[in-house]
Amino acid sequence: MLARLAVALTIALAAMPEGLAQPTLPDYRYFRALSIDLVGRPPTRDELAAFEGPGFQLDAWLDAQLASPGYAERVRRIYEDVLRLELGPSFQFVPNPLELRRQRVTGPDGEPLDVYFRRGQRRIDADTDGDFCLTQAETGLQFPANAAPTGTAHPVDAKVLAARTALVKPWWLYADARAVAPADRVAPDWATRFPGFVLVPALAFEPDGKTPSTAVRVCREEAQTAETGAVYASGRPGPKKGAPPPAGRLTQPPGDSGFAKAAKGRAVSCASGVGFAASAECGCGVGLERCLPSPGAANETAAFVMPTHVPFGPGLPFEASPQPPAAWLRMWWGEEAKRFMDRVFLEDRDVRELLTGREDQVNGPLAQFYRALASATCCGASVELGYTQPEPLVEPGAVPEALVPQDTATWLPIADRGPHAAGLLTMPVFLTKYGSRRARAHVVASAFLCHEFLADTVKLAPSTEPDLTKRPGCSACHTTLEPMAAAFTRVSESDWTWLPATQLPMVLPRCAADKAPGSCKGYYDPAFGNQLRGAYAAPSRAEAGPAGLAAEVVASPDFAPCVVSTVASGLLGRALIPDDTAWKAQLVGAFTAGGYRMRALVRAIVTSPRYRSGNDTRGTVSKLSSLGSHDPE
Amino acid sequence: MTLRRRDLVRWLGAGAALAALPRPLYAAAAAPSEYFIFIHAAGGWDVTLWADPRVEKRGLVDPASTENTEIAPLTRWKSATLDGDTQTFAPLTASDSKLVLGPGIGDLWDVRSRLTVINGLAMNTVSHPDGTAFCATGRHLAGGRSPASSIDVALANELGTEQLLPAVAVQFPSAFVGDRLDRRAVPLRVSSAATIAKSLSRGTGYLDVTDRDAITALLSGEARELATRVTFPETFARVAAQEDALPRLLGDELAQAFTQKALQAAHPRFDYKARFQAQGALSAAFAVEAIKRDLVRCVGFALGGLDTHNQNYKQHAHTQQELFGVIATLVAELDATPHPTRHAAKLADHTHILVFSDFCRTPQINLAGGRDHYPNNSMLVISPKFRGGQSFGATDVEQVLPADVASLGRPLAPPDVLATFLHAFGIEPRTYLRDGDVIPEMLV
Amino acid sequence: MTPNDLGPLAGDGVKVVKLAVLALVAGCGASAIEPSAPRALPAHTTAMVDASPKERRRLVPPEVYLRAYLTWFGGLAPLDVQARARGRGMFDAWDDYLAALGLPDYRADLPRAAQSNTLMLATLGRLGEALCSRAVEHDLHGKPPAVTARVVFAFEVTPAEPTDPELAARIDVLHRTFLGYPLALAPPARASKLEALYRAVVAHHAGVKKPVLSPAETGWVAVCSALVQHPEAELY
Repeated sequence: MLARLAVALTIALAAMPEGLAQPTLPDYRYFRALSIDLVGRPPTRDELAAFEGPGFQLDAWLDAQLASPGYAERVRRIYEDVLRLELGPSFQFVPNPLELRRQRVTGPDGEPLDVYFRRGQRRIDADTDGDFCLTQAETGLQFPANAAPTGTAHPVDAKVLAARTALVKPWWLYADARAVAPADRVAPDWATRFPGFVLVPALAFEPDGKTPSTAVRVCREEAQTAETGAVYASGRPGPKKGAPPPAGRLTQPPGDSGFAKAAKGRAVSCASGVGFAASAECGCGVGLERCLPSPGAANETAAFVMPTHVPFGPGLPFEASPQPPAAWLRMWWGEEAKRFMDRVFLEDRDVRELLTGREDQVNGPLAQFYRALASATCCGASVELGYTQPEPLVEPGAVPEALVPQDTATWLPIADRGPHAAGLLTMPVFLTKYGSRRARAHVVASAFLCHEFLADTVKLAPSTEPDLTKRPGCSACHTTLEPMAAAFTRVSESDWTWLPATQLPMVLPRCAADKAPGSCKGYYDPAFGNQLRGAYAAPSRAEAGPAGLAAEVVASPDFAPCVVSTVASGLLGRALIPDDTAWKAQLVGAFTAGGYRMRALVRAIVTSPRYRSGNDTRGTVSKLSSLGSHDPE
Repeated sequence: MTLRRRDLVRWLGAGAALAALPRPLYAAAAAPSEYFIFIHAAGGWDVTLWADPRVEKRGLVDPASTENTEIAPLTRWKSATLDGDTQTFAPLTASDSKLVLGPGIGDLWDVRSRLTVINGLAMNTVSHPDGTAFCATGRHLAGGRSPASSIDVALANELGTEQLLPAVAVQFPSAFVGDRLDRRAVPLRVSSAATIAKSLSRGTGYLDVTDRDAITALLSGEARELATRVTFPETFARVAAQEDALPRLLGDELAQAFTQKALQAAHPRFDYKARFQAQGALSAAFAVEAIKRDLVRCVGFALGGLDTHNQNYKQHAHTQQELFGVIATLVAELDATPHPTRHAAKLADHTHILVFSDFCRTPQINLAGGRDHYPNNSMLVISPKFRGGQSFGATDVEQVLPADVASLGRPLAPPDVLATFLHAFGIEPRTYLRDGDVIPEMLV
Repeated sequence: MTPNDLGPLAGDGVKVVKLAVLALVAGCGASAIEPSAPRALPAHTTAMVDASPKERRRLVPPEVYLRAYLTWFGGLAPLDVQARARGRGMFDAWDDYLAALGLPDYRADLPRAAQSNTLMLATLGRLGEALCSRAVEHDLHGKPPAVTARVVFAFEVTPAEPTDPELAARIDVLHRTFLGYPLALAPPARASKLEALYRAVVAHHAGVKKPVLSPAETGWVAVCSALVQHPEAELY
């Protein structure tokens, strides 16, 4: 009782007016720490002068900083350290439907001429179907996959060139490429209008390296603009095994798939991989917007001079270098996640939206991706099982039409990405960085529930048990992991393609039959009653998808303590320890009662004695106690 | 070679004797003229292509074959029939070695009598960061952080604190954990060996060496002064120690010696244009150069490109061949370089190499044509302290999972290798490792 | 709250009240104990006991260092700083330094550095020297801008050698810039150490033929370099 009284009196005394005094060393250090964490840099001399001035209100200053981009960036960085949502070059993204490669031939005038094409493009002509649109006879060259041409070039006949190719004003040269007569051509002012959008010279100039390109020559099929195309079946008999390619070709022309034979003439979307693979009427669209340029025939040819070290975003690059088209997309996928997090923290939205939010913000490159590129990876072998109409994670109709592909600077909201959207969990950067279902579940458990999968003492023994939730040794982790991973059953691995229940039900009778088609193998698992792969540990969660998992995670009693723990550790620079238990519980209580808002949580942490004393200063102790603090100390 | 019961009995006897030894014996065994190179084969390697070769379909095992592997670049691949037209490889054997290895070993096969291979290491994880940390520290991650120091830091702490650079980590997963370690053993972590030279060089025309030394002395003194004014002095004390080391580090000599150009000129045997391991070759050249100059005690670096889940598995064997090719050249360079402090000795006599990967890859080929993560592993040691031309540990035939070592009642695991490694240099393993038994049989 | 509320030491009057209250509390406590013969209290001095919780200092995040660096360079963009800082071998490219500063690389899953190392200090030194020499060239050399337009050296210099108080006042400007508090609050010897460094460098460079900077300007490069890579600048 007496001890309590003594503490109460001491606290009361500490709150007494102290009279005039200059800031002390701990005060300065505390102010510096706040600046570092909330402004993103140490205080300037002017800011220090304001701090020392008679009218300085630390409470008001704190509130201002907690509404600033510096604060949002700091908190986002804490989560970036956990999630690492950036993709490196190891994630190669070169789907044939998207990459508009280039071969150099000799034009009718005897000068070098670049012609763009897609590998695998369907053409009616058997000599060029699935290959470059000009033949060896027409050019003197052969065109091996992913490599420069071989042979001795001769000029292409003008009529042949006109018949096989077309001139197009593409999106990368014209901001108004969708217009009837594009005129807004790449110009010096693009550096300010579209910062970070810089073409390699090979894309901006003719082969002489001097003449600015005003249009590009593209194989005629690639230049098509239709939204849908009819499924094409050549009727050609398939080549015999080991038979040499037809004369003039290096490879066999593509055969007719089972789908092509069955659906000949049916309309398919030209934005999808199905349209690319099965129709000769599908091209790169208006202004070639459904394709990314690559000034060469090889994979990963540099196309954009783009920022490669961007700790402060693409607008303030620390390095810029020529990068392939895939790097362009990878960077913007990463930026999408950063902006999403920044918005949650800056607008002080409910932190649970990190997992559950359906809104988004996109700029030009992302709008192009969602509008015109994302469906290109659909639908692989599942076409043979009937999945031909892509069901996107982001409704293309929700993407702002006004954004042109090179508009890196304008970010516009998407109010609702669609019913499958679940915060960060359904963003391309997350789904490709963490390509497998288990990897996705693992990072969710680790980042948002602070749950680690460790089996330090169990012993793995050879076993034929396919169910990892039961298999000795594996079960320790997989009892938890597999059901979580099941939530990603309906999102293709290393991809964002949704596998819809309407077209790929949990059990497909054809795939459960004795003589199931070979394409079943990739989607249905014979070890688990021919269920959709990945679903076995929790079929209901598989149907609920990432959004269902997100709802479960944010409702978990571990979610809020994990947020508190992650953010407090990030700001204190150390893991929380048992001594922090009461403090942490208090923070969790305030955080949840306050509607899961990050601003209040960070305020409580940075005004706590733990943080205030974080600079380990011996000696006099500052009295910043008038700041609100939930700290029981 | 697999573990035999009588071997294990001998180990255990030795282990018991060791456990009874008082600490001073360890202290007396310190080896200050030894150097260490740790290599992380990043991504998870397919052990069936080198350490634990499999050449028949059995159980889950789908061996490397002409259907899943590009064999043209493989210099040690000798085809053997697997199934119809499909060819697998003939394992490498030689009369002067007990080792049986796969073609991924490449040119390192030429020094087989110096290789110690440890197979059947139980990983209990298939997570890249966790597997990596487990091999480097002997502990799984806790809360995403390493709860123990890595092997290079332990050796730097014991044997390297007098060195200018006790531990250098070029994309190597070094961890410095705890307050008990000498602050000088904090690893110098960089992304590339070439960046070291850039940070060490200094401009001309403004300050000179005298000025810089005066600044460094002032900063060192300031750090020491501040250490006396805080509750936890170790942070400032560490900075002071680092400031003290700076003058010896700065200056043209080292900056010039560590440029990419200089390293390539000094060590032309490495293949700096290798398809997969060009960056690793530069790291290896840096290791030799830094050891030759007696600047370091431990160098760790990464050789990568092994994470092959899909069609890129076709190049996995080639990637391994390049990876072990870098190590083969490294060994050749160490053979050809005199020891900086020991008369008439060559570096290879006193340099010890430990190579590990995150884990191994599945014995079965997946639907995408690649191999996924698998909780078994192998390690490689090249050290005069270890018995060369031998392999230890084993896996089962059908699933390539770690087999129990009968006398231990469990399979081998990374902490056992780390404990043995520390013990080989007179360091008590328990100082750094919670788990792991010394396996004297591995040692000369 | 105002900074005036921040003073840690109460005025004497308040201190007396506090002691009285604490004595009262102590007295109340004593009343519950068995009475004993009064004894003379031992003489004592009042000691300020610091019982507040402490944490270890943490490394300033590399992003914060980089943002500050750009600010000290006059708010230039990183690639502009790189272009400006080059020359006389003072700077290579940002890419050569970012990892050494401890910046994480999420693309390669390389975590941020949580502890300093010697190479990090060497890198901070290299970057600091580049900053300080360019800042002296901008702020002090030739026809310098007005004091208010100077980025780092926001003080007047005179042709005459500065007196100790003049020197301390100028160093204080840099101290506040890089360490965030007045020199007067630093450990007592710091001012004299920095003054000694300045004078030693000036003396060392006196008589150098065709110098890039005057001896005094070089002295400021040295003081600036010392403070920008000071342990207190690196930690918080």
